[in-house]
Amino acid sequence: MNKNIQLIQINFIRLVLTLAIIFFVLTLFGTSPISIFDSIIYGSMGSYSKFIRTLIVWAPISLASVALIYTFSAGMWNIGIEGQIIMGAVGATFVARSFFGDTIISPYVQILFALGFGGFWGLICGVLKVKGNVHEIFSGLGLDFVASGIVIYLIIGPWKREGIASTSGTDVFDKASWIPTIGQNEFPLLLILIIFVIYIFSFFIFKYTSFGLRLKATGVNEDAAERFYFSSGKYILLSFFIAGAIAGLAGFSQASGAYHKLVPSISGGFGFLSILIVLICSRNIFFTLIISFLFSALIVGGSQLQIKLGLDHSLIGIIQALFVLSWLILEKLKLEKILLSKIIRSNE
Amino acid sequence: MKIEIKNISKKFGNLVANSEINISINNGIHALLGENGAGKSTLVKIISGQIAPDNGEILIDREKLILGSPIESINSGVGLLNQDPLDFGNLSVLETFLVGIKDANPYRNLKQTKENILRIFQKYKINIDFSQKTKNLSIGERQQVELLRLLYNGAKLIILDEPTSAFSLEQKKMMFETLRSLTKEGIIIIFVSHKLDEIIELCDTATILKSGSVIHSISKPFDSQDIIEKMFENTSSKIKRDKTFTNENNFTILVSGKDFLGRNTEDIEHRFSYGSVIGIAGLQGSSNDSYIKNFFTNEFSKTKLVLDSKVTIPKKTYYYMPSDRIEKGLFRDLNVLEHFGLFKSSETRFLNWNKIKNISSKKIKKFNIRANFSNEVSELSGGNQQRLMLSLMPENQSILLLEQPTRGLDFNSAENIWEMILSRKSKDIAIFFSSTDIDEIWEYSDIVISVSGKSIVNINYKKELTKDKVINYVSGIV
Amino acid sequence: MKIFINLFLVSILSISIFACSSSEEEDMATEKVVQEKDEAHAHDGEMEPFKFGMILVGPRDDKGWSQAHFEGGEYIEEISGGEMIVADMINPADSPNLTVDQVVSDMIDEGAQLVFATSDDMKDGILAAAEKFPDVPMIWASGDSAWQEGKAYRGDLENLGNIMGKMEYGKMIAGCAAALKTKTGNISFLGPLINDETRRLANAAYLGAKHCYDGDNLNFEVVWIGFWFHIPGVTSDPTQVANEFFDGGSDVIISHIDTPEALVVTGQRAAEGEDVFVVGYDYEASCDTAPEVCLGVPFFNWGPDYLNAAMNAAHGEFKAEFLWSEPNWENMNDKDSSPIGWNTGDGLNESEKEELNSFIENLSSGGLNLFTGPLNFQDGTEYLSDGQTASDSEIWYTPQLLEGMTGDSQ
Repeated sequence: MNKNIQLIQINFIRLVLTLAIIFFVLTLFGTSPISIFDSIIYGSMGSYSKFIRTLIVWAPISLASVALIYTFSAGMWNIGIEGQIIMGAVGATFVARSFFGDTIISPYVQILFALGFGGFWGLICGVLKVKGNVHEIFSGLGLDFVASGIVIYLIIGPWKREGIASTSGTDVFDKASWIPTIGQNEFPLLLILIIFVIYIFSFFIFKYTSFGLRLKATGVNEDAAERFYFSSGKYILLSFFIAGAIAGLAGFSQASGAYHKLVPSISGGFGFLSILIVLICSRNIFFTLIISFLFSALIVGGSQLQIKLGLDHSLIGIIQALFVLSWLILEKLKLEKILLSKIIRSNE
Repeated sequence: MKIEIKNISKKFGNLVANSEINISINNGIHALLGENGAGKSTLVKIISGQIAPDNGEILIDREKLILGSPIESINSGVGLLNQDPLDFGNLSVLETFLVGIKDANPYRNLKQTKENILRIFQKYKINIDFSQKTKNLSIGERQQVELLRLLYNGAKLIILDEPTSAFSLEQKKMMFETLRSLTKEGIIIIFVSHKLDEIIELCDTATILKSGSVIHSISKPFDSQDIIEKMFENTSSKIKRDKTFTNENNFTILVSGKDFLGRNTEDIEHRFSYGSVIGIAGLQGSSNDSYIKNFFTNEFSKTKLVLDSKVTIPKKTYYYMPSDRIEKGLFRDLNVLEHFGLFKSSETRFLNWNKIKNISSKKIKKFNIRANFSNEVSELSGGNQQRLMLSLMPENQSILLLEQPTRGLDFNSAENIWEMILSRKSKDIAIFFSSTDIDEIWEYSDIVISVSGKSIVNINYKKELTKDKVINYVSGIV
Repeated sequence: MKIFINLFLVSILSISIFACSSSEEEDMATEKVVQEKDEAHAHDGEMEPFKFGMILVGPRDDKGWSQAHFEGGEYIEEISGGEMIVADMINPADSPNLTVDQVVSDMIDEGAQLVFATSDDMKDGILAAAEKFPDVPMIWASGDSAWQEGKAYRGDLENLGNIMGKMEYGKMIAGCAAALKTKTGNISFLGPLINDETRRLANAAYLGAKHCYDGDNLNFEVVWIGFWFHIPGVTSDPTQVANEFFDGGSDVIISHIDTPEALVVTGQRAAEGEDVFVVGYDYEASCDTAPEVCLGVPFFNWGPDYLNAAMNAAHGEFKAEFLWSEPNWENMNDKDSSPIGWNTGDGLNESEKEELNSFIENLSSGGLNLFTGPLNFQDGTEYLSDGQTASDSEIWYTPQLLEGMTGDSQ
């Protein structure tokens, strides 16, 4: 059987089983899973404007996830992704507040700065790893803290609102600096284009270039890399730079697409969420695109549970955690393979 | 005390590890000798109960030992001292000791237990502070603590599996004294080692194994030349060799003035012609593999190759093939096709998978690799992994650095591999390989570099050498 | 094969859920029509319950600002029989990527005919929402968008009104109580973030303290934590700040944040034998946290003004007004009429209570206006000349802290 089709089948069965577990647990909580999921689906895709809201959340999550595929491929735990998102947002805000802010080119200059700021922040992790032999988890965590410190300093310091010193955020950007949208419901075409370009680009990189293959090889075996005449260090650095740059775009999306200003928790924890998503998807680029959308729908739909059903929105955290845990446990148990082989046998 | 090993046989698949082994030991220290793969460790594992034999029995004091159970072996008085001490670095010496002793709950009467332990330490004149952390002890001291624990548990037969590899001279002396005093109490010791000098110094009787069988039983006094001859007895080869081949180009090996230990030696130059096969011989645990790798990494010494043309050799000319195929040589999670892609990745930026598939098919056929494109390399057998690594050799003129190219392979695979290697003689500048198998070295080399311990002892053309000389060199007898 | 059938059933199930929601989507398309119908119903005589949205910045049970608003909503439910839709913890830290305008639109989807956005911090969101849904009345509490003299005046938003109580009086009383109690003359003001509102109220507290303090060594220190409540990693920790106040020689804290950390800390330090006191804020029962050391609490009573807005909205008579309500001086603590109140705590003894009451009496009679010159700003420039009384706009938009106070103005 074709390996890809089998992979899709296995993942589909796993998805169904995972949902069954979530349903079961929600029932244990004494809530009605059907009405919760109904409300989530309605809340995230029930109308065009809600769908667009989901897209706005999907943008940073999908970008951060694909960024992580680069570092995971190189065998790196890029915990610093949060900081890279934050710095991307800082870069975008810097442009939006500069003399570019009210010009039509502002969003495009923001993209460049977000790429640069995020990439630079990622590169620090990489350099510390390759040159200083500092484990990327520790440096990443540290840089996350530094980045949020920088944002808070900017918000209550140089970038504060006139006469106001509040951690609630900077002034709203000039409309010219918002991510360009189309139509009354503000379809974020540019953002969607960015996502698809980056996904297709990444797919191409990992499938058809020496660079992608070497990145993967670096992740599998740093020692063996040298035998094939390339230095794993160089590829680790590059993976961090690319991941940081793409994460920077996620920050740009947050600042100029979602909030239209810089707020302290600009990353929204989406970096950490993306790590889980990439783990779930085993670095498969298409699954990542889909699963990140599911999670965005869960977040957007879940935020309305309170309004629709009067339920606490921490329930969404529970659903998310359940999803990840059950998925990873099922993956370890390899239950689906057994199921699938049974199905095939009964078909024969 | 008497131990009788009767008709022990063990097969792993097609490989005969032990065949009809009969040994009888009445007292004293008995040496178990043999080259790599002779079946020593299999026999040790059978006696200590880690694996069960297919046939045969072992009697201890005329009582049948229940085979295949470590606990039965321990209860019958068999104690195994491992090459690496199996202890807990962060525990104190006393705690480490307590973890492994036979008393059901040593903490119930700690004071009494402690006194018992102290007595046994005093008896063998071993002076170690109980309360310090185990990791602060030297390897030799840790081995001694292990040995005492075996004795505390009532071992009557103690097996030492290459115990002295990490010892200093002083420690070795102490250990040997302790062992001798044990034999006076009637304890039998089986001593497994490569080091002839130690065996001659310490042992009373010896058994030489080869290819799983006992080929010789001897007792004191030993004749070292005799033992060496028997251990490395000829196994003839069937590979046809291109002996007429000559090449006018020459290169020089510049052996640096510093060896691995940082000691200064003389800088030496050796000139050889292109296409030479250079075998780096050494016993297990010697640095012969490191010398191979060093040409690639220049990690340790500055020993290097210089071409007569004085053209600097680009890095890509070297092809290094580590002995640890799956951990160091290949990429565990990548499939066969991706390895060929990686092989191409230095030439091109974009990967044309159709082209790579074509090349791969040819290589897979040529190198007789039994695998599909989509097989991950961890799914391949050792021989196929090795052939895959060989198939990834660069096409153009190279310097091959092959670390134990036939390690762990059966006879046929090994021959097969050699055929592939030798077919490149006319193309390459030089083919280096390391081996602990002196026969293999002697069979295929044009030039032999003998390594003993961490130093190069000798470099010479094979025609200027004899096999015995090489054996002496690698054994440290100059 | 059976398993395949099961899988098939499950997928049908999920598709049907999807279908359900998309049929609801069609409902949304006719949203406006329904809304108009609802309004018509309201005129006919309350066929369907009046629904209103309440957006809270913190948790609904925070014993502070948010709970006061929540209870204001409950007051509407109680009196008019309307139905409240609550969304609490609407701030970027607790609800990432959920903005106020999104919440407003969700509430409107759920049938809300009036939405309360109850934090100064919600400015950007509520302005955007008011633009997006010009037919839905909204209230931005503590805002100034409907005030013609206001800096943020948006005459175009005819559906957005403002409601705020004159908390200056409450804060003056708070400052006076603190001044009556302090022995060291060191009063500390635990401030949230810096804006017009917080400067105004900090100044009011200082004026009250200055008026009631007997002596000339009054030391009035203001520290801002950065937001209305503690967000770990983002704001300063109010517990730590409160402790630092006492360590630095203060013996009374005036809390101005939404949450009761200052009361907790004071209670703890008093239990250890220290002679320290605290004034609460926002919520009428906040003294319950540490009754013995609580000097009192100025609190908001949003109910009456909110109910008024709800009645207007329900009857289609909503106007975008800027409402800055005076307390009901007849009975400041009357639940049905006064927008702010004051509860005296057990921390004051009888004579102090008496002095405080006479101070309140003075304020209510109109005989005492503390915003009277001469008053200077922190940097020495003149705020009010001798005898001049401040206008509403001068009070609302105080650009600096007053001379005599220490702490950041911006």
